[in-house]
Amino acid sequence: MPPAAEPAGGTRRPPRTLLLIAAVLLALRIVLVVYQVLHPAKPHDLVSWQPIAAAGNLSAATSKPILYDFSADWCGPCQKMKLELFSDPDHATALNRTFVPVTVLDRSREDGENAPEVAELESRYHIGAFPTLVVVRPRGDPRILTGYTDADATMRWLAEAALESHRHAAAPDSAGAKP
Amino acid sequence: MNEALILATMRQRVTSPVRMVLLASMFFMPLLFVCFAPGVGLEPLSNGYGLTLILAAGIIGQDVSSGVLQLVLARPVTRREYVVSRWLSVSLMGGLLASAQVLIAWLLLLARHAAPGPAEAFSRMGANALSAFGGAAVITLFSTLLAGFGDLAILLLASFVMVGLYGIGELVHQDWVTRFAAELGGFLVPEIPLDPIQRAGDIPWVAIVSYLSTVTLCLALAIVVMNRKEFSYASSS
Amino acid sequence: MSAGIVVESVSKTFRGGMVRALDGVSLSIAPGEVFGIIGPNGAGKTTLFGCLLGFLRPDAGGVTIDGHAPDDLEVRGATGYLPERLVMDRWMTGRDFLAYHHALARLPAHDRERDVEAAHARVGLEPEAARRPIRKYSRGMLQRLGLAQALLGRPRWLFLDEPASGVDPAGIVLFRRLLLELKGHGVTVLLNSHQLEQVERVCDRVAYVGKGKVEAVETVSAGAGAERVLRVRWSSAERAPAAETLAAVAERAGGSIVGVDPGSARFQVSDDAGASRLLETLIGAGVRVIEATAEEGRLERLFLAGRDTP
Repeated sequence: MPPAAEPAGGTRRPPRTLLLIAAVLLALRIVLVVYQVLHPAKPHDLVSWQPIAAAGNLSAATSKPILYDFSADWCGPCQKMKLELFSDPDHATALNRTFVPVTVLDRSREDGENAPEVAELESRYHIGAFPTLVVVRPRGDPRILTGYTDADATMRWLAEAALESHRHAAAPDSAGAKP
Repeated sequence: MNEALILATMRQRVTSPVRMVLLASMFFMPLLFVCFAPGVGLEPLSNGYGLTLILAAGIIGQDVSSGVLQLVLARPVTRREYVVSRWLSVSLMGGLLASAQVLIAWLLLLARHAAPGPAEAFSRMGANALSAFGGAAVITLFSTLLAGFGDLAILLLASFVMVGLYGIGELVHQDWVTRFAAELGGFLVPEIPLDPIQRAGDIPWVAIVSYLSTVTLCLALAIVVMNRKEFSYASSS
Repeated sequence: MSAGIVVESVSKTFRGGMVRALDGVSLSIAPGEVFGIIGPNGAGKTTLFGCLLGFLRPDAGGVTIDGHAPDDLEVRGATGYLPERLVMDRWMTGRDFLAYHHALARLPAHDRERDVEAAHARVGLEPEAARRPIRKYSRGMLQRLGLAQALLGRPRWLFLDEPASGVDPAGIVLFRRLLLELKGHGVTVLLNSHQLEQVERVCDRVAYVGKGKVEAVETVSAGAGAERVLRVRWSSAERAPAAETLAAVAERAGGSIVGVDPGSARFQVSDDAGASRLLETLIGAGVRVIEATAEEGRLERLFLAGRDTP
């Protein structure tokens, strides 16, 4: 009897079909990954930004706080935030779910001055730097975050701001002072 | 595949007190969090990998070192049956637990009027179940390679390598290194995010192929390793 | 007609050729035979058993059971195995354990409860024991349970590795009775044991494995027509008869003398008739025979012979 022959009806039957499928899938996977590395997908903004004019009504209708994103094209950290936060599927989902997102683009450098609604918002919240995130709740003071460090810190801040907003909405008797 | 094996595996996992304690903590702590901080939604819940890890650790390695394996393999049971049954058993348990966790969290949130839509909850449940099957496959393969709980050691080592590679890749600004590290991470924790599908009908093809590739590869290799295993069953000699 | 167990020139080395556990071992075990394997520790019995069960793959040569590989599914379905180091999931009850193996052996589910109860009874385990978790079993109970597991489904090939270890005398009697019963049903039994007395009482043939080789195969059972060695003792108060006298007497009776010890001598006789002729002749020659038994310690002698060899 030949040594070390694999018995066909034995308990050690090689998993031929499974190995074949695994090999095919592995090859396919490598191809896809290589393709992705060579042709990286352009990150795009996944947040459903709403127009400035509609923000108030939408917020009242859905009881969601408004999230104003004050940014400018020349601002580096704004681009970083767009890349890391708004283009990330999980974060974008959370933002869309929790807020009425509105982007406010400052064009003063490029155009010399801003559109009236942009200027009004900037002066209302005393916007001096970009990016600045403002969470406006139905009751109480707005919460303002200036600058961008990283996605997680920003998300945490946003989560807290949303939490307070929720609490305020659920307890209308509270004075609505900033906690 | 082999009902007796699957059931026996489930009972074996459940009768380990240490495992049950760990499982209970992993199951209930995030739920407590959700209870007291409903605003954060389903975020505190993991993807179910931890639960599956607790269930699956040592799934084959333990049998090898305890000597139980030989008694089982002296029966008309193919090694493929054995591997697949062990995997399936912990996958089902892990998947069920991970999904149940999401369901309970969602119901808790519903009671607080802070719940996400049902579509998101269900997609989360599905993703967790998939992650359980995937993670179990990886642990099963590792468990065939080393006795006892050596599979955890391999997982730890692989994680270090991944993190190290990622760091190196960032340091030397070589995208392909970080990408390789990310792929390694995707191998260790196979999952298919179902969110994009329910949100925008976007089917994550690459993730699906990667996941299926990992699972089939791990199971196939685990069977091959078991086929080649020799048992120098210890006696007094 | 079944082909039995054939071991053909099996060699097995470990640690990259450093340890030669088995060196060209050949055996042929007929179906229905009760075959014993004895030998010193480290001689390769464990490895041989591993090869016989298909857990180890020989580097050279091969093992067939009824013409098939030992881990062929059909063969597995007809095999019962009692390992030396018996390990079971300790949370299972005796019933659970047997039911589990019953299912693994692909035996019909509707017979399960009945078969499991019968298996318990067969090895002398009480019904309450069956419901107790295995971690509460004594060593002897574990062995009994192990044997019960090996006997599930009426295997045709039974591999027992030190089945009597840790078993009380009542259990040993039970086991022996079971083995003889199985022999009656034509089951082929491979028995690895250090308990030479038990081996001699149940086995048809015994292989002595030393240093990775089969150094001797002894035929044990002496039927009426079988040659055997008789040890005859005489009264020590008497003067011992001379060796030449004994030899002459033996030849006259149709036998031959094998050896003389103080107080006794060993004679080779051809069969039952030859044995009684020898005794008659000895007594007639004036030897005060007080006892005549089958040769004792024959298997033990194999161990000692092995040690004498450099």
